[in-house]
Amino acid sequence: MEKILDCEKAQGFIADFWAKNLPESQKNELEKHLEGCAECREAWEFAQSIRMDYAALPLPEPSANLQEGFEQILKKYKNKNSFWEQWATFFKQLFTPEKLPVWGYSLALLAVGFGIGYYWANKPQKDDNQLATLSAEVQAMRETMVMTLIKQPSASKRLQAVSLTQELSSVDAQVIEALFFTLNHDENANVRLATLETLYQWADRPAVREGLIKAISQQDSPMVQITIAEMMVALQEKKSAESFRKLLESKDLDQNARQQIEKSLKVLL
Amino acid sequence: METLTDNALMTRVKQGNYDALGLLFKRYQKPILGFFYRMNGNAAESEDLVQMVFERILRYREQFRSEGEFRTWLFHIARNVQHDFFKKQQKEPFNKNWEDWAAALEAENTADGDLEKIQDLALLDQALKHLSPDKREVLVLSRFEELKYSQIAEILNITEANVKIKVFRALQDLKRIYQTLEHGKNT
Repeated sequence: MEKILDCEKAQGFIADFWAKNLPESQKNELEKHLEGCAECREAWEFAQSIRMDYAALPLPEPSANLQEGFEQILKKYKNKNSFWEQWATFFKQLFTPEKLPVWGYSLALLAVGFGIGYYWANKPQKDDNQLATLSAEVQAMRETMVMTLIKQPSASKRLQAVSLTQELSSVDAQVIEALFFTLNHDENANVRLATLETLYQWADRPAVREGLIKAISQQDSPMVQITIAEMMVALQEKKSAESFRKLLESKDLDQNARQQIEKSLKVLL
Repeated sequence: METLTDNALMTRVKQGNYDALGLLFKRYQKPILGFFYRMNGNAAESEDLVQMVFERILRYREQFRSEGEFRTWLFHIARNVQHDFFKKQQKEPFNKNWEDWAAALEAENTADGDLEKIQDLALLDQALKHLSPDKREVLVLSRFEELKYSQIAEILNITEANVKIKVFRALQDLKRIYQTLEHGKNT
């Protein structure tokens, strides 16, 4: 006897029929099963009855909005991706095998750069030493010049010497001594005034202060006397008071100088 | 260009030629719209979902395998979009109670001998809408979108035999609903 289809297979055939995909041979096989199976037969009859023109079932037509919406999505994606893809392409191009020599060359150049930088970073110490030696030499030269110029007969040369000492970063006792000699003995009042102003720069040195106080009694120019009196007030040098008193006793003292000295003495005492 | 296969076009999209998607959109906007419309019955909502499908195609273009079939891949995406949409909406499509609808149809009393065929179609349309979404889905995909069971199996990630069982069960449910509606109409 011919083997009859079981329900599961028959149902599969009905499903195939729904999908318009049941071969004639299987249809015969199915019909034999249906003779003895009411459940499957009912399903089969229904499937046959509704085989209609499904295309007639209503469907909406795509609207203009749909097309527009799609184009916007596409546009958005093109923009978004063109940005990232540009970067991706850029980086991909950077690391191609053809670029290997370029990379090698660049790295070598960078290494050389670092080497030179390192060398220079260590070199300045030597330069600093050279600079220090050089400035010491310039200092010594200036001192020599000061000592030479200060003994010149020309007043302008001696003024030059005094102004040169202002450029010296530090002065030694020899220069100070020479300046005091000029302050006390130079015949030109202008030179003495310039010297006084120069010495004032180093008034924080006890030797310079002492020298300035001693110089008070030796000055005869009113300009120098007035200046020195002002300086002593600025320096608050009380030891200078005695020298000024002695100066006031002198009958030759200029009237202007006398006034300034008296004023200074009031402040100092 | 029209002679290019779906897969050739999608391969171009994958390579960054997004304009190629325009042709695929032209080819498939109607079938996909039809699928959504059969599933949710709302034309405007369906159009939104069609756009979502094409956006996903762009987003997941790298996942397209040229040895697979574009149409299957497309419906797989459409099905996921539909699924996500239902979940998000937290509602059943056509949530109108079909018994209410049967009553409404009865009240309309539109029985007209000449229009019997159209009425049968309308009845079938309504019966389909009252099927559960998973059952409606297999019937829509197989009959309206004319996908093969092997393709549906791939889309739903089940075996072909399982698809046939689902179709058969869906037909049985459809029959029950259809007959109830018919009964309501005739009484």
